[in-house]
Amino acid sequence: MERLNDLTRREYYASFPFADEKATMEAVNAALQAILGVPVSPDKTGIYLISSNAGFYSSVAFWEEVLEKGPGLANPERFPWTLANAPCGAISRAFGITGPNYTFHGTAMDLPVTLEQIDFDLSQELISQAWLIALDFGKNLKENTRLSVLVFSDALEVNALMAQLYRQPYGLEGLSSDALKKFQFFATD
Amino acid sequence: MGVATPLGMSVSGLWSRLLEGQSAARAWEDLAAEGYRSNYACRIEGIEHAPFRRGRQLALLAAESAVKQSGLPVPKNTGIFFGSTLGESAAFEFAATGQSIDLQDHAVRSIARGIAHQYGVENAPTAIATACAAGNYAVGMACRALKKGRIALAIAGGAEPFSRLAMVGFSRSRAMSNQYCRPFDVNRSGMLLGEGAAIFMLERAEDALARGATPLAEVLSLGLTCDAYHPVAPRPDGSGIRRAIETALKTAGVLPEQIDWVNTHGSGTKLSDIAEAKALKQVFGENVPTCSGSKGALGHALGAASAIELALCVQGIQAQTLPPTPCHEQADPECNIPCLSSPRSATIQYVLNCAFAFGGLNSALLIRSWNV
Amino acid sequence: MWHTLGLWHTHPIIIMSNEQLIYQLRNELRGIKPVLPENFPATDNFRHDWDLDSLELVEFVARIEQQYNILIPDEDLPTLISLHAAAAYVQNKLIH
Repeated sequence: MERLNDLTRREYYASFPFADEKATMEAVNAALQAILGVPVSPDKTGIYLISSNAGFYSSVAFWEEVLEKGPGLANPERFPWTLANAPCGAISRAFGITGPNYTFHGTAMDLPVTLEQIDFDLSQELISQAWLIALDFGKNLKENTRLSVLVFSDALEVNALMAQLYRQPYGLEGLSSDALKKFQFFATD
Repeated sequence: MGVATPLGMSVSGLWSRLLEGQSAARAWEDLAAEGYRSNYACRIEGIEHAPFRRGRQLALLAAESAVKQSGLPVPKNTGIFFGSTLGESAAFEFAATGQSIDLQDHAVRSIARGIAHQYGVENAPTAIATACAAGNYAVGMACRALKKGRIALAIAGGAEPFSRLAMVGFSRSRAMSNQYCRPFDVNRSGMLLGEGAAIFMLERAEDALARGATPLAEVLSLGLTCDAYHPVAPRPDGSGIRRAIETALKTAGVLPEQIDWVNTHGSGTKLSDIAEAKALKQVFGENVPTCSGSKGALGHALGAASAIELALCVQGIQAQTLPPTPCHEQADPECNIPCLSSPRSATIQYVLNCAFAFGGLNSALLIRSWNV
Repeated sequence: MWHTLGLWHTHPIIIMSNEQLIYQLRNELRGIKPVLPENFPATDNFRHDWDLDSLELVEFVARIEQQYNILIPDEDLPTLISLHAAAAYVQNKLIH
């Protein structure tokens, strides 16, 4: 597990072998526990998850089962994991986090809007801590899943990051590639 | 605002059929022939679309109505906030046959991009993948961006094409009714699958007024919580739902007694309806406001559901009319939720739109009539 | 053996003792919920004794349907409260 610098001790990056979304989340939750511990206020913690492919593998695997067994006999086991928001739900259950729970289908380009929501929730005191999680599942069993985590406890931290990332505050020209490399968030389009 | 639903492709058409208590639920021969155990669903007929682009087509049809009604040009830096569950689920089904297809280009964001492309919007659109609550999320998030001053105009909503994947999933999970969806009814036996889209144009009130427009309604707040309980079942005591509603009320500084109407999630499953009923009783005590549910009429349109239902809330405010709950015939005393069997005129100011997703994501969007 | 002779010419025969069936069903259920002990009693109530939830139960039912090629309608699910009850149900379905 690598610890990045700046906003120190609150940025983490890891990767693990991909199984399927359900099995991989066991490893992801174990990693989150190791690096973040337990949330101080689980009911005032928000989880903001960005993934480019959550649910893809399970959706295809589920339908393969349907094609094989027919719609009348297919096993529903995989179905909950076909939803992109299943991983974020799994994190909430593992940690008992009952605050706001967001899932975005996106990439690093979605950081600005995600930070905007965190800024709002922190400023309005709907949460006291935000876990911003970027989670890209391996596309197949040979590829690794990549996890990045940023933790915020203060709207000022969020705004500082936004100012750091963009050429102007709330500028939408796009993220600088330096910034992207720095945070090791996953691929842009 | 604009809609695409099995009961109509315009808000006015949908509304009048809903007031008559109509339901789009019926048996479908193609599903029966393909071996589906339950073949009742609510689907839109006569929509032409490119292969694997049904979701996009529904979203664009709804967006077209919304943009037209607003009379506004769509600037390049419009914020687009769009929700869906699977996006173009047919693409995933196709991939399962072993054929090659770019799934990134067919998931939730692909529909959001379709809207952006249609209107020449250059901002990266936001794709919200929170399933049955996605519409509420989209509208709530759009409002935050508007309040922040980052954007002047937002296009927000949700869409979901009819999904065979979801049809099998819910059916085999034994969550699906064999015939009708009956929210809060003692004889309810599950949900029905629907499809559709609803899209809203949103701006700051002062901007609308400055150009002489009268807003259809005002969005006040969005309450979000997570049950952190089970992959699919809701927390039985309804506490997660209760907290979402309370958050919405508290954020807006509105008291429970001020709520005139609750548009419920009302999916018609045994567990979900009970949990929602408990939550409403905890929030409102003995005085639960009139409730409505439209999933008996339209089925459960997943990522589009809360957006379509929001359109019904706005329309109800415009018409100052509380709608009935189609297919609700005999109230379950365990739920005891006050639904109507026919429309009723009422003074409607504050309306709650509730929507809950698999995994225990609870959303409550609070809106208010625009009082000049 | 259950009613095999009378059905000889009209139905495919699955000859299985109740013990065998319970054994198979127990294995299926343990595949879904590995915490279940190897020989947990056939009369144990799935929900009350082992906390089986609705999702696990529908998965179990789906596997039974696939394994024995039978269809179990929604209204019959509440009767499948234990291995014993499930086995009896399956036997009944296999005969008819």
